Amino acid sequence: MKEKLKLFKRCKCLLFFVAFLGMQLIYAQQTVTGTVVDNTGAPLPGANVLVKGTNNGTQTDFDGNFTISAASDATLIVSYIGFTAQEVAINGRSQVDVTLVEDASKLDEVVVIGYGTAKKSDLTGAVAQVSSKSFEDQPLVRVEDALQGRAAGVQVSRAGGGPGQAIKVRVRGVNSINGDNSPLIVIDGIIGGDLSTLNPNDIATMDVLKDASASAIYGSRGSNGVILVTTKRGSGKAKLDLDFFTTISTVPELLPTLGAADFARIENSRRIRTGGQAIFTDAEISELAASGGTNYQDEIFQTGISNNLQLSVSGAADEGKVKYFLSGNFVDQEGTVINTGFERFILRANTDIQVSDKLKVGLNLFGSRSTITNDLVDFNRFQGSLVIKALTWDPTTPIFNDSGEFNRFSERGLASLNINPVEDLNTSLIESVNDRLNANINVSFDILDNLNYSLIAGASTFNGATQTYRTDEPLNDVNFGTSKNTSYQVSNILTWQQEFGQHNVKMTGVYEFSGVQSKFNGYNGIDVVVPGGFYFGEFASGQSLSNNFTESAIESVMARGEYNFNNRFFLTGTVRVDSSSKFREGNRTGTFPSVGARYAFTEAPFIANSDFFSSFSVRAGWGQVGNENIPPYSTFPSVRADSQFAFDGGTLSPGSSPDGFGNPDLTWETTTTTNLGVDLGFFNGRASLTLEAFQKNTTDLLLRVPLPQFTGGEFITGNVGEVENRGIDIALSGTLINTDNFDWSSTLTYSYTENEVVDLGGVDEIQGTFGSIDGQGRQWNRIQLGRPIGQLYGSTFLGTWKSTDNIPLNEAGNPIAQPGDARYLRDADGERVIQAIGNGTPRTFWGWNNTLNYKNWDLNVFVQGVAGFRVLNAVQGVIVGNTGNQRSFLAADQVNQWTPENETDIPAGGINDAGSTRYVENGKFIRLSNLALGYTFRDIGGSGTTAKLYVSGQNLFLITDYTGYDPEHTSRPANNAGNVDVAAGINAGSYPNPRTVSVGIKVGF
Amino acid sequence: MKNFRKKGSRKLGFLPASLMALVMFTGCADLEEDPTIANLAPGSYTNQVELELGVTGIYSQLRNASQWSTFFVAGWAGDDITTHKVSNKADFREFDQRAVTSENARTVGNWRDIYRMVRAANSVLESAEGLELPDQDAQNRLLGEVYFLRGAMFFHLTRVHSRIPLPLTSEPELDISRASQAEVYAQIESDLLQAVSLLPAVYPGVQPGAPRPNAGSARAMLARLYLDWAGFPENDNSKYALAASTAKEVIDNAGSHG
Repeated sequence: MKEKLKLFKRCKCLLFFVAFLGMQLIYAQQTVTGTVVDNTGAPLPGANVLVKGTNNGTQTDFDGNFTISAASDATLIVSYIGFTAQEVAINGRSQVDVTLVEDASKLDEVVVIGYGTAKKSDLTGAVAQVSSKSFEDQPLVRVEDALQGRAAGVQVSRAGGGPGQAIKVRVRGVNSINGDNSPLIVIDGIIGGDLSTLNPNDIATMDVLKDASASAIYGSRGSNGVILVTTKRGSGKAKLDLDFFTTISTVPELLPTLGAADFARIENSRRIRTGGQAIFTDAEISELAASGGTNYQDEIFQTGISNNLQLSVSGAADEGKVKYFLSGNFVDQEGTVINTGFERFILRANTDIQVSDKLKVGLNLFGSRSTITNDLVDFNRFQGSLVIKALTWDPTTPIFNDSGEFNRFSERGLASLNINPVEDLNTSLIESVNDRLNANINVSFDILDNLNYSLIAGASTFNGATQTYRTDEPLNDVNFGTSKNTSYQVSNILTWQQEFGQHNVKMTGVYEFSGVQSKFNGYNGIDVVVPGGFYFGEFASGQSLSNNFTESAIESVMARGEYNFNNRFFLTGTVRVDSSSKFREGNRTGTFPSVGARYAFTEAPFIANSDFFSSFSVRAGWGQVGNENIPPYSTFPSVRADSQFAFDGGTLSPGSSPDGFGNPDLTWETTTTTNLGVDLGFFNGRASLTLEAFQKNTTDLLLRVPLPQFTGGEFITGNVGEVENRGIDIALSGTLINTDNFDWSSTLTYSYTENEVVDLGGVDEIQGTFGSIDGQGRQWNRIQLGRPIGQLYGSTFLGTWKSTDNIPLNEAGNPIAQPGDARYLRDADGERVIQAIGNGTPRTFWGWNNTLNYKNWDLNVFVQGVAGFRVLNAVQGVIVGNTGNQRSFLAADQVNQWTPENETDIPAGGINDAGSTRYVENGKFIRLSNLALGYTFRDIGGSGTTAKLYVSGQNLFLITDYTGYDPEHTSRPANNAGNVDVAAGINAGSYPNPRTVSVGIKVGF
Repeated sequence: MKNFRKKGSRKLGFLPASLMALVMFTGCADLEEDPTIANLAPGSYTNQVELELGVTGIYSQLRNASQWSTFFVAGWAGDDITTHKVSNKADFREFDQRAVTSENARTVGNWRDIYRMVRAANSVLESAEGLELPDQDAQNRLLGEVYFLRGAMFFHLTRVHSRIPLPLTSEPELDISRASQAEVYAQIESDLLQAVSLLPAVYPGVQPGAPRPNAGSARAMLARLYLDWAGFPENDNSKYALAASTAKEVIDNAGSHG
């Protein structure tokens, strides 16, 4: 026996030595098997089983079984999302069965925090998690929709309802006046993803880093918040899941416009009023009254039918050592505007291989192709979108003439002077094809039990090509553009974790570099002399080509320390140092520090002795993040290459001319955030409340400082000015009812953000870039000191001039208007006052998500709302008419226009300024975003197959005072409109948001 | 079993360590930007092609400035033209009625586009400083053209707006103010005299009709300038004689301009 003990000791010594060399401690290892079940005895597949104090872990299979090798005196930590983790001492047993208890508070959920994970209960920063559970009951095509209203502080707005159209995501307001305010998307550790190309079904969780104490680890790219997307991994028995749904989309409501007969009557009166003659005879008017004319709005809309197929195979093989998740997605969407559509294919393969106890290797492959047909945003030319053109097209001109050809223009030159929108949509074709391929490898190696090295290396390629064939000019035009982006990222992550009694320390160090290269090639052909389509572009009379190349790189080091005392006090400190190629030596390197702390009052009497409170903790965090969101080469002056001139009137000679002014002194834009938070748990964790207040100040804005016109340039980018955002986020969630047959869980999120421009570098305001669409040649937005970003700018409408009014005279001695003309606020000199007339940046966002289960039935009700903003409904301004390219009256209420007998405030003439208070409306709305009812057949025929049938509706109702299609559709940029956030709240004719009804089936084998 | 594991672990230990070493030493991203990959570098010209590109670029800006009726907006003040009452023609109407407001978008557009062209001209003159082309005639001709174009644009602007700022560099000069009318005329005169001295009698290689200026074009414009100078608001009567003599020179040399 003694001998044996000696040997034992010797062995132990030797092994300690070996362990120092990076070897595994294998002494007294034994194989432990067991089953993990919940309190009803149902197996929990995919539960985590970890040997305490090590990185040695596994997951249970489909039947809840696990096998792990562990020392006989080791302790297992068994955890599963939504359940309280349990520690079980092995005590020499080879069979360890564990029953986990459901934890309604879900405070032990693991949250991805970037370059690692943390328990939700340990968080020091502001992180909101959206897990697939909360959106799996909503048939989704777009990932952005899964974020909407489900994470407090995350604001999602649709710029328009077009298939495949961009969706705007913002975290806690907007910081930057010229830069992009989109959050950074990190997919499985790879920085710079695109949510629109992801398959919603591939997503396990999305974690939003809201404050700088959380996002500072992404340094220069974290200032707009960070969304960390984790895709699904395989586990358990092989499983096949199939989900198919068909969606019917319609335009909820047509906007009221004048019928053909009323239009003709009012057009007659308009002409007579300005000294002209009637253009319609009485006989023609009665004919139009009988036929009803043509409503072009109705003509361009259709009922769209879409199909969405999701297929995935997942599981684990070789005793859980090889995990796989393979998925495919096919979407075929028809738009609610004729000849518009979207098609998308996505394939994903996530593979994880446990090579040894210490080494894990994973490979994620992702490929997607999306095709957008006739994106209406690309149809915008000069005055308003195609939707506006349809809304303002002459109702007295039929689509086709007597010989069956399109009536290209209004027969009498009335209403919109643009070409027939039905013809445009049927003969033009704009097709954008985007291909994306991502591959990333991740390696995790346990150098010591408490020291891990991980490598994430990824490369992605994006190829986008848009071919355009337009028929709206006398001769047809073609355009082709292709962009190719290749990017790479290599992250080296070293993690060390150690417990010292009640002190737990974790250190993370990162060295990372990444870069992106973009190429653009394109050509343009105008006046193609033969018809036929895009492929006849060689017959263009005027041809030109364009090319571009840019390259940028960032090199970074990051360090993070996490300290935890007795699970009661938590402290996190990070520092990231980034060097960006976009800045010159000396200004290139930015240091972004952060610190966050949390204290949990677990043993305070009011928690320990209370049935009401179950947990209470407070958090505080401070941090700085940066923004380098300017185009590469911004520190250098640039030269335009497209400055040709035809000296002989025909052949173009190449030329060059000066373009941008470079500013060699540019450096980082910095956002400093302070965040305070309280997390409360109630009724033994059945309900929870998180309250957060924040203030963030963005200084040294990368601002395009406008230059006086006589400099011959537009702007010079400088580090000028400051924007402040302050607000609160509230998330309240709980299980309202929890009985054997019936569950009701509910989550409410609310966020309020106030934005203020604090400094503009010495000026009081900067003119915006959203050009008016009514031909008035003005800008409809401004950035004003002391006000929020997104000020609407225009004239103040005062109704009509009445016959009793004393109408002022102009310099020539003529009255400036006649009775019945629109009246605007004027200054002492008689000039129209152009000033701020509202603000388009919403302040309040909320969402209320409810899931109800009764036996095999489930119901999801998701309501969402936005408030605190104005909309300039310029579309209505153009419908009213008598402006720009729309010179007739078309608004339905024009039947009550001013007459000498009935002096209403609806003008019968005079300047109609679409950028005026007449068209500024309150944008506040409440929307039923999702209503879904499902029935699940479990374990069909004892085969383990489950099937769910569901029906759902999106956007079923919208409560708003707004008179346009949808108040959310306000961020659509017009041509050259610049930053969408600075032009928020301007509706220049976006694609209407559809109302959709879907029917689907989900089957799991 | 133990042995096997040890070996395996050690081997595998090298892999990430060496990988890490590899990326550490080879990975340092290149952070020096090189905009010249796809962009002509602004700065000094070294050859005739660059100078020609720059001069053509000024013409391209001229086309941009003059392609819409805005360029000739002042002409709307003539008695025989009028326009639609409302709509996007309101700005023209202000000229028609000679009551132009400061917000008039047409004026702003005209002003902006012409100054872009002035900047292009200044940029060429700066880039050509110290340039010694083998073909000295070409250099003179091209630079003469630049002076002609800049003078012509200042002239066009002053005829609409009277006193104007006179930027003479391509870098933004924010504190520049409007020059006096006499200073403006003097600058135009200087530009056109430079053009007269540098431009040839016949611009080589172009079709008849003078699509590019020659010394005669510059003199003709100079004569026109003197007429304006002699009239309102400067009323410098001494310029009448200059106008006459300059115009006479054009007439007398008509034959030499082809």
